[in-house]
Amino acid sequence: MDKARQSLGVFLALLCVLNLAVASVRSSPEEQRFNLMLKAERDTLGLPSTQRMRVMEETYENLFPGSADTDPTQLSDAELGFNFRSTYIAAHFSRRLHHFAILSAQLSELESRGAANEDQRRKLHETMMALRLFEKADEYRARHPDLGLPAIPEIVTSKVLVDDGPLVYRVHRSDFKLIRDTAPIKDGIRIVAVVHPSCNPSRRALSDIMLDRRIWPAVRNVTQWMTPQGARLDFQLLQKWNREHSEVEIKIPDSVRDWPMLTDWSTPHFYLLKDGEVVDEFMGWPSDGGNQQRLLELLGRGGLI
Amino acid sequence: MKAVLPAVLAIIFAGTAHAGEPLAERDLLERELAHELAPVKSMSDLEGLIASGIEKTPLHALSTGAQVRFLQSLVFTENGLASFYYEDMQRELDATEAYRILSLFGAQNSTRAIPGIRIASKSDELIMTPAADGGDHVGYLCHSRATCMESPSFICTLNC
Repeated sequence: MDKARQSLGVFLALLCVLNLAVASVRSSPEEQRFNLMLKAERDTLGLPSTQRMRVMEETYENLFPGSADTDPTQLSDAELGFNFRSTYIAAHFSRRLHHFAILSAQLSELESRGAANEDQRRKLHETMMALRLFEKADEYRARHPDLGLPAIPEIVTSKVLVDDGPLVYRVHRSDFKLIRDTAPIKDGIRIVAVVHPSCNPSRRALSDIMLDRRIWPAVRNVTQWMTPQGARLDFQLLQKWNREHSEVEIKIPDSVRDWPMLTDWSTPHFYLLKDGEVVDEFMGWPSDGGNQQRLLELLGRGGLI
Repeated sequence: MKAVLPAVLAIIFAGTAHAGEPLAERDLLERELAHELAPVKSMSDLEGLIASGIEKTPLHALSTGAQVRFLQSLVFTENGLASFYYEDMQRELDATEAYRILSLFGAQNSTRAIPGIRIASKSDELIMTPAADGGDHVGYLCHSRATCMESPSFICTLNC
């Protein structure tokens, strides 16, 4: 079994074990719908990220038809709390303002009742960050200083941007700034590596790649190292990483919708692009041997080795 | 326990050899030890725990619905617990209660990665004392083929 992974077996067996427990839970319709959102989240794990986003969005729309028109004042605090959690998941996957607006309305209603909690406020802020509503997120942070929400770096543009690829943010080496730039992936042979310094398989991959004398020279000048869009910028972490690994500068995408050629943003995920089209890809970096051979194949297909 | 030492050393050196933030050796050692001593390291262990009665375990601190959601979220690798859903723990528990639950799986060091969990006692403060990068990835779930996949309210641990 791949990396002796037991997750599917665990889940299926656990479902049997938990049947009695589930049956005994007297949950409200709102909690049941929230549980179905979580179930959909698990059930879609094997799908590419873009497809998963779509299915999660559809699941929400099916569970909450006409949710934008639903009057939150008709729900109890607990019911509204579960609906808020469901909408948060939908907004996370869809990255749509439509879901953010519903989430905001639900939290406003909870706030007006004095029933909102810190977790819900953090989730609204996270959603603003994920949707790149930076100004709004900064205003919200200023209104809630007690939450310890992350500050938004100053966002600057240091050069005239050309249309050679999607908008990205580069982390300034020393200042608390994000620099708007583009990722040049439209022309020629390029590699996009989706990685994150907090992801253990990503760390394994980056370490192995930098230490491999066959791979490193082939990738160092043609690779865009990208994080997923994410609800957290992880500014300090990325700044530290980029300072310590100047040849592996990890950047932040503005929106994954600007990268339609990439169907999956799991980390690590390696794409070989030719003139902006994906010609090879793979994901994962197992602890028992890594994936160097697969990466060498990818590099070979691109004529990089 | 003789077999444990080489594994511990291997993990320490593997951790420090990572190109990323070197994981604190002490943290790695603690995680390995916690895994060795954990009552639940596999699915069959978990079945046994549930069969013996959840009410006898620290899981009873969670509401019933939250227990089910937490248990259904667990992902194991051969190294131990690789992912879990933290939102209900964050909402319903303090850090000490979460620590006790995660101790069942040898993952108590991941407690401090749970954002916004309640800190109300001295033990909560001790548990949540910031440490070197522990290798937990918040907002991600350990997925097949050794990848971290974005999933809100999940934590992908060092065991992925």
